[in-house]
Parts: sequence; C-alpha cells; structure tokens
Amino acid sequence: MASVTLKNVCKTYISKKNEEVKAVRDLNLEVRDGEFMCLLGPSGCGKSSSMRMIVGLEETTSGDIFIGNRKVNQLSPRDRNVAMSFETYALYTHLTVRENILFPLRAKKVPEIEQMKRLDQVVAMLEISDLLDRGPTQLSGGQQQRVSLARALIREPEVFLLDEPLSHLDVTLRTSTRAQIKHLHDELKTTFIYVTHDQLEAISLADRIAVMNFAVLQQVGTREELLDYPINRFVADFIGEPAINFFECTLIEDNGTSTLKSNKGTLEFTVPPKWNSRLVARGRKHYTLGIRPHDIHVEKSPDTTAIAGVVDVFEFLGEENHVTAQIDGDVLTVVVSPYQFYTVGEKVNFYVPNNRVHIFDTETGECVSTTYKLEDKE
Amino acid sequence: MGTVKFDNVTKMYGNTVGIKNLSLEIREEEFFVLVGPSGAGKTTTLKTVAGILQPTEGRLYIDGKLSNLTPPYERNVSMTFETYALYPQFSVYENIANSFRSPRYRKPEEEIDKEVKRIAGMLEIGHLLDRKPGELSGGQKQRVSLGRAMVRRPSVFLLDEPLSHVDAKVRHRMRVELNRIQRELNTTTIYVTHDYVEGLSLGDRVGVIKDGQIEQVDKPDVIYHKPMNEFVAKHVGFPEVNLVSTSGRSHEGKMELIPDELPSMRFVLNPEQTALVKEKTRGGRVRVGFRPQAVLINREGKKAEGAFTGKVYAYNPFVTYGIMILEVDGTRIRVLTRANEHFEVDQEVSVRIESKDIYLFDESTTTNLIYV
Repeated sequence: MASVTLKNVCKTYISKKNEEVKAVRDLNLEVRDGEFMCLLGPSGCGKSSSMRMIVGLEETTSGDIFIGNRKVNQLSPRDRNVAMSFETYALYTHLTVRENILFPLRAKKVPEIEQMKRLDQVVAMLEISDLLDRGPTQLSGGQQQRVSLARALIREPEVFLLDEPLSHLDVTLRTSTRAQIKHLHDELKTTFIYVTHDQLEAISLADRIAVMNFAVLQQVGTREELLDYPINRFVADFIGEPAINFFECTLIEDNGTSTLKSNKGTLEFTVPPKWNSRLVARGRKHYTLGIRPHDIHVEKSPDTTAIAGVVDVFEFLGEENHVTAQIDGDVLTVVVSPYQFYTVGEKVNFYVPNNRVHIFDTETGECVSTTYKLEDKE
Repeated sequence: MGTVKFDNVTKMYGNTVGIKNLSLEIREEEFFVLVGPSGAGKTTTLKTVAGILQPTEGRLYIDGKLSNLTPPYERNVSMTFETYALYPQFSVYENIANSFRSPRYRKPEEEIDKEVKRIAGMLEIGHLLDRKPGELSGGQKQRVSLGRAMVRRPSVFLLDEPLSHVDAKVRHRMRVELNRIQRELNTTTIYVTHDYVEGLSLGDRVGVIKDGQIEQVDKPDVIYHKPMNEFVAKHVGFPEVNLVSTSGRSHEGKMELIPDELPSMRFVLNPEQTALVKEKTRGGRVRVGFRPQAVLINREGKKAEGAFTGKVYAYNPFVTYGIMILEVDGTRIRVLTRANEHFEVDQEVSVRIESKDIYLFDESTTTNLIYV
C-alpha cells in the first residue's frame, strides 16, 4: 500500500509533423494511501498518458512522480511495485488461466509454495477457481477480465492500476463486474487508480475522481462534490446523466437585488442576497444557469424557484421517468419517479431548490456559485 | 396509409432461422419498436418489409397489398441503416436530395430544394448542408440518414438501430428528438433496437423478439410491468430482474413461496396470486421474479412482515439511484436504492418485498402465470 503523488508532471509528444503535442500539462495530484481514485475524461484528455507515466511505460517530460516516499521517475516499471490490468486483457493465449495468473510470480522466481498460496487467494477473491485449466479463448469477456485482474493482483502491488476494465462488457456483466471491483478494493484496501471515459463508472466506484480535459486537470472531488460543487461548466456538463440543463442568462440589477433572466425564455432566478454584491462586483453581464435534472421537483417547498413549463416529451423508462419541457425558448429535462406520468402539452410547475442552482460565468465557464459556496465555508 | 402485416412469415438462411412464423400487425401511424438481442431476427424483419429479403414462407402485406414479391423500389417504404450508409463524396444536401435523383422519383430542382430544406429544418441540420459526412459527428450523421429516409414521404419508415453508434449523452438527446419528430411526422414506423430503453421511450407498442420469434407485443408499461415470460422480464429493465426458484407452502392461512437457494427469504402471496399458484402449477413450484427496485430497505427500528436480512457485497452509487448487491444465504441479489445513500461492505441490511411487486413464472415454460 502506498500513496501516489504527481508534482508538476508534464508529458509532451512530438507528432509526425514535428509539432509538440502536450498530452499532460502541469499535473498535480495526490492519490492517498488505500484510496480508489478515478482518472476521468473524454478521449485524448491525458488520462491514459498520466497512468502510463505512473506505471513507467512512459517517461515524464518534466515533473516528479512519487510512490509512497520514493521518487520513481528513473525506476523501470517492474521496480515500481505497481500492477496494471489492460483494457484488452492482454492474456497469453497459449497458456492456461493458471499459467497466465502465475506468470508474474514465475518470472520473479517466487517459491512454489508461496505461488500456490497467492493463487488460491486471488482465484477465490475473483471467483475463477473453476476456470484454472481453461485457455483464455474458452472464456467469456467477463471471465477474461477477471483473469487479467487476478494476474495483476497476484503480484501484491502497492498500487493497482486499471485501464477501462469494463468497456468491453455487456450491461448485465458490467453491473456484476463493477460490484466485484468495488468489493475487491474494500477487501484489499490497496491504492486503486482507475482510468475511464465513462462518468457513471467513475461516480459509482471511486472515493474521489480526477476530471481531466485537454491535458489539464479540472477538478478532484468525491461524487457529491462533482455533482453539487462543479468547478466549471465542463465538469458540470461531463458528470451527470441525463445531462445538466443550461440556461443562457443576463444579469439584471434592480435596487440592490439581482436577477438572472433567461435570454430566450421566461426563466428568472433571484441571486441569493449574500452573493449579490460579489456577483455585481464581477462586472459581467452574461451568466449561464445550470440545473441538474434530478434536482427539479414537482412539489412546492420553501426556498425554491418556480419554473412554469409545458411538457414536450414524456418518457416512461421503468425505473424512472423523464420529462422534457419547453420553458418558452428553453428546454428543461426533469427526472421524475416511475409513478409520475405526464401527457404532452400538459402545463407543469417545476420547482428547484435555490441552493441547487449553479451559476456559471458564461465567458470563462467558471462556476461562481461553487466559488462562493467554498468561500462561504471558509 | 401505412400498415404492415406479417401473416405467419418465416425467413430461412439455408438451414438457419432468421424469423419464424411471425404474425404481427403494425397499425397506421403507429411507432412500433422491435427489441431483442443481436441475432434475434430484428434486422431480418426490417429487410423483409423493405424488400431486400423475400419471405421463405408466409405472407407479407404492405398497405393491405400482398407484397412478398414486390421489388423494393415499388414499395413505398424507406429504411435507414445502422451504419448510416451515407455517400462520403456527397454533401449533406446531395445525400438527402439523392432519393429524387433516380429516374423513377425525379423531381424538379426547386421542389427538391424545398423538400431538402424542410427536412433539414425539422432535423436541425440546416447549417450542415454543405458539409461532407466525414465532417459530421455520429449524432449528425444519424440525422442526415434520417433526413434521407424522410424526404421521400414514405408510408412506412424502417429504422435500424439508429442510436447504437452515438454516445450516452447524445443518445438521450436524440431519443427526445425522435419522440418529437415522430409526433410531427405521424408516419408508421418500425424501429429496431437492442436497447429496451428506446423501446419504452419511443414505442406506441413494443415487440420483444428472441431467436426469430416474437415473445410479447404490448404497450411499454405492460411489457415492463407484466412481462410475458422470464426472457422479457430479463431483457427489459435495469438492473436486471432477480429470478429465484421457489416452493409453495401454507402458513397461517396464507400461501408462502420459499426460494430453494435463499431459505431466509419468503414471498407471502395475496389471494389472487395464491389462486394462480394453486390452479396453474404442479406442487406449488414457481419461479419468482422481482425487480431490483421491488426490494425495499427497512429503515431502523421498523420490523416489517416478511422482512429478511442480507449482507452488503458491494454498493455502487450513481446519479439518480444506487445499485446494491446484497448477499442473502450466500446468493447475491440486485437492489436498486435511492441516490445519496451510503452502505458499507458487509453491513447487515433488512429488506422486504411486497407481494404486488413480484412476478410468478411457470417453472418449466417460464411463462408468466397471469398469461397461462
């Protein structure tokens, strides 16, 4: 077990046209000992490059990487005491499952008794003891995935890295494998670093998530922090499903109170008094309101803003229902319970708690409501 | 116009079954969604309507007319393909206009221009007309492919997995848009997908197909709440339904079903269910299905009838819900929870399932007892 610390890490590749491509810019990140950390972002954001630098498959262009207190920049992958399981499983097809799993121990010439002891442990943990004599080609995708995890885990690494482990599995298998990975982390209490482009996977697994975009770390936080305190518009939009609703607004000041008024529709949001002067002092006119589909309710309660809408599309989905409503020119998606039904054309009043409305600076994308909330906390 | 009727249609590929004894009527202006796993016969069904394939046996009627041997270009249907099948060298405009360039459907240029722009407006791709397909995103290509099918004003639309190649967020948005477009167009549509969510969201009626045979055809809420058999119950809904084999016994005047593998669990049946089990099963052997959201968590201090205890194997919180895997007597069941819950691994949790929320399936045929 060990923490992983990245200090000012940069990675620059030279493209075929001899241009510099910055894959990772000035990354500072601390993964705590025993933590489950997800590196999340769209393809090309730098998450895989970051992981490859931690494992030692890529050199850093600048900056330092520490595993525990050891600086590992100059160490070869096998001396870093980390293990990685690959998206494509990378099993040896001519070896049995048993031989595949034992491979790293045999390479290190670990005594036979120790090998068998560890094998028993990992196959029990991953529930693959009945597959040991088969070849990888006789396994389903989910089974191959578990063998690949077992082969990484048998090395008893201090840090375990997983690269998109669920991306090739179907929905049902993904549910059970996801649960298994979470269970595994709880049992092992080893530091896990998990790379994915799928925000739902990150949310459902990680203690904390590091969101990257265009080679830059955007925000590190728990599921709650990313959902309720997004640092900017990118994070707010990237996390959450269905996606957050945005309303382009203009700031209207009147006698010490400010209102954000939608440019298209009738939506109006009164800026909480405590933030009023700060918002006015920024001197900007244009803001974007963000409201998550699950933060909107149909029951009135104190300290909410009402949004009058007309149902445009109603979707019965079994476990939850979705309503898409027209708010004049704006569109609002709302998640409702599976027992709530609406018809197209129906007029509905929606209510959103004022403390669940996110205010973004339209020009910079900064989430000023999060900034203010964090300042208020201090 | 715009009706399609399959009368006992079978399509064989050599010795392999494509579709088998399919009898199905698609009504005028209906949005019909055919849902099933890959290889179930969905695309074969569409291609049979399009005329790309001929039925091996049975009769196919389009708009009331026997159409088994009618060539594709004489059928007033248009199909979009999973892979979009756009002409890469043509602009978006030319791709959409292409239907009118054939000798048979040729139209004057100004009429073509008007139609292309009308469709592009409806699909919100007006600003993309000069681009080539290679410059478009998946969602945009999808809309162009829809536009090309719509421009001919067919009496039946055939859509093959239109959303399978776009990412999750775009899929959400496109689903809502398709709902809207469908309402504006009011054209009979057969829509094929492996994703049950699209079926529930879009379909006036949904057909579930497996191994070339239709398992159930009904409205979305009936498919979801009254599945015909275990296959339909498993294929529709997320997380997947829990299924257990049980034996019935009488207890204090009520019938109880005890799962073979989970002896600490019991389902106390209501009078209708008791009658069903008594009349329609042998010796009270039943397969019970219960959806993950049917498992209700008992809050502290409450002792509910029929409650049982399990140990948390894992808990995955999502945005609007959480999935708990609960171990009961060594067997794992899926439980859907509200968002913002917190559970520790190995924590003991008391849960219950209400009798109204369970499905009873025949042990050998897996048919829902309400349909037996």
